[in-house]
Amino acid sequence: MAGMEEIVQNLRMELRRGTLVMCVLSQLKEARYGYSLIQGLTNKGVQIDQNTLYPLLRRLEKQGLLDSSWSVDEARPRKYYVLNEQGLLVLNSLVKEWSAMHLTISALLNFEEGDEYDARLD
Amino acid sequence: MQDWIERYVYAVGERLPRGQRADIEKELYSLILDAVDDKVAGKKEEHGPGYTANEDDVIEVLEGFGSPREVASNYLPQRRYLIGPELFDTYTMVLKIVLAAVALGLGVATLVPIIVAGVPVLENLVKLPLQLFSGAISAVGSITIIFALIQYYGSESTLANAREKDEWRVRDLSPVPLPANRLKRSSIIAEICFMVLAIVAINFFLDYFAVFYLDRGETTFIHLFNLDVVRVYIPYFNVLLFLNIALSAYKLKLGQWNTGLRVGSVMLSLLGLLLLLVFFTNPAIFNPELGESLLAVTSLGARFVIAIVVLTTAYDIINHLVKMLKK
Repeated sequence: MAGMEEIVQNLRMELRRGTLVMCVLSQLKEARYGYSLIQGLTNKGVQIDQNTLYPLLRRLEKQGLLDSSWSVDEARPRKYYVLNEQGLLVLNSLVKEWSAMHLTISALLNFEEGDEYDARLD
Repeated sequence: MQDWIERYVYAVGERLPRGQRADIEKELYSLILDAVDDKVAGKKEEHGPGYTANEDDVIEVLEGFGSPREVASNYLPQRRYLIGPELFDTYTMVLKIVLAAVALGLGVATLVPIIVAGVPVLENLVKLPLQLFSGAISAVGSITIIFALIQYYGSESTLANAREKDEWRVRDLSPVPLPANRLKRSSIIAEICFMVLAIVAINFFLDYFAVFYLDRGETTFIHLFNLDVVRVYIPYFNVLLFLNIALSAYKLKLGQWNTGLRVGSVMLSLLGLLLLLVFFTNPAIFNPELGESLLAVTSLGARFVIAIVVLTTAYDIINHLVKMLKK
């Protein structure tokens, strides 16, 4: 089917999108600036577009989960973001949710570690 | 080289709200430089430590960020509406009402001169579609602008209020109306249009209530009413019409008849009847210049109007009473 790949691509993106905030928050226990965060995430295998990440950081700050400050100690001024207390609480509940979800869905998919998922319906 | 970055940052900033612009620009600038540094670091491994950034590197990095419009739109609030979902239903309803009123108004304004004053038929009918078109466009335009302004300037809390109205409880759902209680939206809208038209007619076009006749090939007219006397009644008619519009609006909201609505409707009908009786039984309302024969015709006409109104009101009241009692 011609549209198949596109459908899968869209669904995959949606699947990832839901976990994005959790991934980003998890990397901000220590203050980081945008570019270093994107590299950190990429190195750990999480692909995120700069156009998504930078505005997201601002939104999370506006929602009160992150604090930011300009650092002028380096070669150029950089905006650092760090989890605040509320952000930490939110991250913890997201992680809890994620673990529970992982268990539920794995059971649902009858998925065991190392298995290649078999799409057969039985 | 720096110039490209500055241009790029400016192009993004242009599209951002003033309040956040400076900070986003500053951050974006530093992020772009970080990306350029990273690119240069990669090239140093390839070309040796002496490598410095050139124009192509900068351009590549900027292209990687994407078009300024796209970047800016990512920084803007996610939900950007001309007219958001909170207002959309109201918007379409108002639009329907106003469009119907415009069509009706223009139709009447075209037909009445043709019928009473013998204005050339074809010439005026041909104009109608164009007038309808431009009337519709200006109506849609102005309503859209008003709603867009409400959306734009309406505080977050007003819009949130509109959203909260969506909260519902199963127990609050109104019963499925009996066929007899069902109210048709389209006929309510037509009612509102007629009343708006009536308000416009009695307040602005009282002069046009006249007897037109041909006098040696020329159309002449005599006012039907004694305007000084009629003007005394206008405020009462206005109040009555506005009450009727309010009632119709309430009908639109409820979507079906209930006892309160029926009682209100009956009371307004009676009030209207009373007002018409008082009005038409006053002989001073007619223009004394009409002459005896014309006066005789008009007072006959007045009696005819009263008779019709009495009949329809009576029918209306009985109809409502029967339906209230049936329940």
